[in-house]
Amino acid sequence: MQPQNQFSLFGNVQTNETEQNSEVKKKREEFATEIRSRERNNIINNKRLAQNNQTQKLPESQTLIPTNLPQELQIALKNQQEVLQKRQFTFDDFPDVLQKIYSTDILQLHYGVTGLRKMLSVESGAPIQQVIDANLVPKLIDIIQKEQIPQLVLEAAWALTNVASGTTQQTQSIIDKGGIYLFVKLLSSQYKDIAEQAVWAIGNIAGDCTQYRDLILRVGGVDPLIAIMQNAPSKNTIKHCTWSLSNLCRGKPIPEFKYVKNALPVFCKVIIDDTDPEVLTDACWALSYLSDGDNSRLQTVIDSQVVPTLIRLLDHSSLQLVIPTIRILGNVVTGDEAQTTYVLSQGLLQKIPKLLSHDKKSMRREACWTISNITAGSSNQVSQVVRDSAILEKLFTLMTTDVEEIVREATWAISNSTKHGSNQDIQLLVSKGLFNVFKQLLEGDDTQTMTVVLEALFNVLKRGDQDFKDDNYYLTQLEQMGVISKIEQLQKHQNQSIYQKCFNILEQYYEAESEL
Amino acid sequence: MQEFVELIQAAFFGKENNQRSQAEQQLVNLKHQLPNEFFQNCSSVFISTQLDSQTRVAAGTLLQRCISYEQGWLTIGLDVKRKIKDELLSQLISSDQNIKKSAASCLSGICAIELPRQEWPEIISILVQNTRHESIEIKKAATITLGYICEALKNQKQSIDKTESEKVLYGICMGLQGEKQIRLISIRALKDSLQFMDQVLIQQQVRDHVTKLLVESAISQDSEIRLAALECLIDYTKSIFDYLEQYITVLWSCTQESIFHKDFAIVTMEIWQSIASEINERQTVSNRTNLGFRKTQKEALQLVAQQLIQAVLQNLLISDEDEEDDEEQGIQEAAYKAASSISEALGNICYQLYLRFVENTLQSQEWQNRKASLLAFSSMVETADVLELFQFSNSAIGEFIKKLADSHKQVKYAAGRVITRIAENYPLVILKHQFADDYINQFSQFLQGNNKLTKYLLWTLVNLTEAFRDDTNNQFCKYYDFLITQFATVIGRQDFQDGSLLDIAWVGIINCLQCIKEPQTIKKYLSAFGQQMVAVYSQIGWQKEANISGLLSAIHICFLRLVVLGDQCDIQLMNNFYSLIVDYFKKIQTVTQDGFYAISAIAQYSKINFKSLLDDFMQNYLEIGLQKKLEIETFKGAILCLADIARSLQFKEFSKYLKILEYLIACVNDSQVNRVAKIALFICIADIVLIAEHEAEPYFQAIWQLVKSGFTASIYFTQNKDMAQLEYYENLNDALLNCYLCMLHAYNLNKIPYIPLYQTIPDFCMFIQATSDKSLTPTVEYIRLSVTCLLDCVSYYKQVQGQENMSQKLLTSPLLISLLDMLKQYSNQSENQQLIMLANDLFKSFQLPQYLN
Repeated sequence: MQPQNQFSLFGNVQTNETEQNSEVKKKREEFATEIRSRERNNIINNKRLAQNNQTQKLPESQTLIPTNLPQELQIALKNQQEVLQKRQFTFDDFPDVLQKIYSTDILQLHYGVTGLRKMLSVESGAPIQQVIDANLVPKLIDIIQKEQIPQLVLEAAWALTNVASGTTQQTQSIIDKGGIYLFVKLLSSQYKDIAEQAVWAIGNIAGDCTQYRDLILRVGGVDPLIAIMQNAPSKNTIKHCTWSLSNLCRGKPIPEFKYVKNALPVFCKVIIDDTDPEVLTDACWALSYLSDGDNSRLQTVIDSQVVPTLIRLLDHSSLQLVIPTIRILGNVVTGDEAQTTYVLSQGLLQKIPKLLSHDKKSMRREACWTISNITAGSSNQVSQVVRDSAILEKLFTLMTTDVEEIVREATWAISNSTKHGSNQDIQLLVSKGLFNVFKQLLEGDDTQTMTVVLEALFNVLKRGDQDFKDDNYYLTQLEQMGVISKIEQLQKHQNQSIYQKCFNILEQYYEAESEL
Repeated sequence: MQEFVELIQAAFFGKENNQRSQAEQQLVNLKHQLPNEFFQNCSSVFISTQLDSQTRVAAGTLLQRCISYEQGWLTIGLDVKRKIKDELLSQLISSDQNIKKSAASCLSGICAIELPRQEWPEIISILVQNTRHESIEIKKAATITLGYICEALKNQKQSIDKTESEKVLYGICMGLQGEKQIRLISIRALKDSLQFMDQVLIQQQVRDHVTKLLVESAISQDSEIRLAALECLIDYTKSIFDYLEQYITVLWSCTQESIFHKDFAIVTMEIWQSIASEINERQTVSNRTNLGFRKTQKEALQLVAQQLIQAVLQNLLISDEDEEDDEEQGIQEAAYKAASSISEALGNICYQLYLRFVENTLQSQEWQNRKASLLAFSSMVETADVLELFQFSNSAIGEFIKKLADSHKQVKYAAGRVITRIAENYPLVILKHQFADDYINQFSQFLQGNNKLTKYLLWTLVNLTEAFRDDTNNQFCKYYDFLITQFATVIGRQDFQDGSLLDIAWVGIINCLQCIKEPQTIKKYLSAFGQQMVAVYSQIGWQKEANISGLLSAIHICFLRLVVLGDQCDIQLMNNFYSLIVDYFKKIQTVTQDGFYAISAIAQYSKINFKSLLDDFMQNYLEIGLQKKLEIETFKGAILCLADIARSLQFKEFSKYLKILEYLIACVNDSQVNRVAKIALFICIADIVLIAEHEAEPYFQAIWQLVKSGFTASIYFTQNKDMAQLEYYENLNDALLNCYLCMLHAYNLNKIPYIPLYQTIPDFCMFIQATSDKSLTPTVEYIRLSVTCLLDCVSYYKQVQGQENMSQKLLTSPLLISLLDMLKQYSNQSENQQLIMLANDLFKSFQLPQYLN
């Protein structure tokens, strides 16, 4: 094509080119064009970020000092910001800061709020009570609600966050003034720094006590937090949000599931993606609470593909991380047969012996509890545990040597297996010395363990009836070992439950003597 | 020959349409097949004294058109040309005035083509010589021809050599000293020739001489000559503008009588207004380009300022009792315009003169004086952003408002006018006034009375709403609801002549809506607009028309506002308003731009949810709009709506409509489609490509060809600066850059550089090189988009094997650096700051020192 031809495509003024004469339409066109180019830029910026995200640092999406302020004011604020950044504030500055916070001049206000924030940001001895006493909490809230300059909102929110990190009573002073709702609203701020500040505040307040936690949940604090995580520009943001969100999901009484259910898949994703032990610990703790419930929750966990990661994490060196991890897995194996089978197929049992031998009692307890959840399942699952000699031997050892608390958990694990285990597996247990262990336990003085043992014995004897017909081998064994006479003795035990269990056994297999 | 004569007669005077067009077609064929014979025949008929005058003139007209049309003159042989020229020259002395004029006109057409090509230099000498001829007829003919030549050159924006121009001017000067008829023609010729006289008028002696002759005519006792000379001075002062200080006093003395004369006052004030405007314009350009500005003209104007301003203000007093439209062309209005330009040009040097006048007349017994007082102040505040004017307005506004209740209606109107102007240029005078609430209340009262006052006070309030967008501290939000209610009362009025005031009232509503920060409030208004939309069909005529347009625009703004505020899509709201707009289309049985705008905003608000409406809308409504290629407004609305919908959806939802790109591309290539619509087409193609990414790959070459022809057209325009088209090309450039940017981001995915696009970079750079020169005063948007594209080219093509240097070379090219320098001036805008940061990151990635710290 020749230039002339191309020019003719765009060069001719045509007759139907009319001047737009409606003012409304002109206005509309202006606004539409502005939004259109803004939206297009957003798409392009996202693509550019996606292109560069590993290598480049993100430019600030929004500047905290708006560019539509008068130029001089922008510069003055930026300069003051830099100066204050370097300056130390002590309680001596309090009167000055106080006066400036009430100024109507933007620069003065900025000085005051920033100064206050810095004063409150010290490691220890922050003048939180003084700030509350000077009635600054409502003022800070006022600034956050009304101020148009995001930098000021950020400073005020930061200061308030520091107040929220005080005692429960001090935190209460913020809550009384509607602080919870305010911070939840700030979570959705278009300014990343402000939203992240709110993340801290929410985490602090939720961590204070479960009443505060529930207040936050009720005003919808979870979803905006999740939104921030999903668009998080940095690992740090994810870290802070995980901590904050985890505080919203933890604690007893456990939060109502409807408020926190959206967080469940989010934690799973964090656990899969992240490597920072702190983040993992927070996420696992939260998930350990969230996964304590019905099978549909457990299915969400499984569907999120987090299980292999969890099992891998069992090898992690941090006890603080391994405990919630095993607890999540322990929760999942309470599920239906398919759910439990899935977890076992991912290699959970291989990790158990090491945990059962762990130095820390709490670790051993969690491991036993997990096993007991598995052995409460189908005969197939019982079989997998019982036939794992490393686990079985370890459990027997724990039952005879460990402290009472662990003995009890381990006993549960074995006792459960007597309910649904196959006859073959019961034989295996007996052949491995189950009765010796039981006998020793019946001679102990922990009534709870004794009850469990008696229950298990009853189960085993019943299996003996099926297995050996008239000649119950197990009964003979127990008689020979003197266990039966121990049971007779225990009929006189003051604990009603023990009495009842002994009575059941004796009545079934002997002419029960009347006590009377 | 006889046959040719008959053809001309049939073509010009045939009774039947059919007959005429047949003859015309035959003539056109002849011209194409045998151009030499055709031109010769025309000329022969024209000079043939045996034929009647009417036929000869017709032949002359035909000849003249064919000479100029697509420079047809250039298609014929040298001998024929020479012969025709001689024949035409011979007719200049014809006794028949019509033949003479026709000959001069043909000759001027030939000159306009040949003179710039230096092909007929002797003609000027011949004509100029004849301006001194003894025969008055020959003198006249020569002067007329010279005049025509000047006019033809001016119309075709052609220029001639300095030596030729000198001769022309010599001939004109001869004429300026001749008889009345010749003098008048010469004055007009001078006016037409000014555009190529720059180089001649640089010479002091020539300038002095011409000025002296013109000034003499400007004080001529013959009113026709005087008027023509004064009219010529309007343009002439611009030609000698660089030397204004040498002539300012003589200019004043030759106009100081005319300025008070009812027959000359208007044109005389226009001379001075034009001088003042030129000062203002140069000041503005110098502010934009940082090129130097000589103060001498301002100082020159200052020399005569006192008398001039007094004269102009005096003319403000000339009021006509019966005059209904106070803004019609009259002495007073001319005085107003002059007063305004002079006040802007001289600034605080002259304010006291104005203020003294204002103070002396404001409380006068005579209504004419009170009106003039208000107009004088109003003329000052036509200039925005002057601290002193803000202060004056601040102290006077109360008095002006009182004059809204003056006993004379024309004073009331003038008060309305000055208040409107203050509200436009100094809105904070009212908004921050201690009585602001009271004032705004008072203004609102007028929205229900006299139409003319309604107009002024409506504009006042609308102007105030313009200031709301910059209200960072939210101090004016208390007025939003109140003003929307007030504007709504205007919308309900039926006693206007047309819908223009309703239109303005809707602007006010839209301005308020744009500032509302709570989604709930926006939704409250949306629901009200929805109800009115149902009721509006029962209105009639202009009221219905203006209100439908206003309602649809308001709905559009509301939804976009919800987008800006980040409100989540409410499906029910989406469905309700979609049905509302679709019902509107059904009711009027067609589609409109207004409706498309509303739908586009709904789509942007609904984002992915819009998919449930997509098929219905595309197939039943948008399709119709897209077919209306020749109805520019509707077509543009449909195209941009499509773009917005595409951007709002994800590609998965939109993919089945991807083929629409073929149609859009065809439309850009269609010469019937308006070029303004083509800008929208580029935007739409860009947006679709952006979401379709590699799926749009099959269209790459076709789209690139479009963009490239756009580049070529824009470069062509830039080289032939035609300021009347500037705005179009600025918009075209933005659209082209947007399209290129979207291509960069669509085709380069996952760090895999798309080589065909990479190969377009040299063409792209050439385009930027040609269009970004500082002297072209590129717009901020243009600079921003160019820098963005160039930086993205750098970062995408860093990975092209064997071409790593190219990327770095582009980054450090003088082209990009100079654009970054320009961008730096606008770094107060955050997006520009971001770009500079991006540039710095790239510099860093090449281990180069950062561009800015």
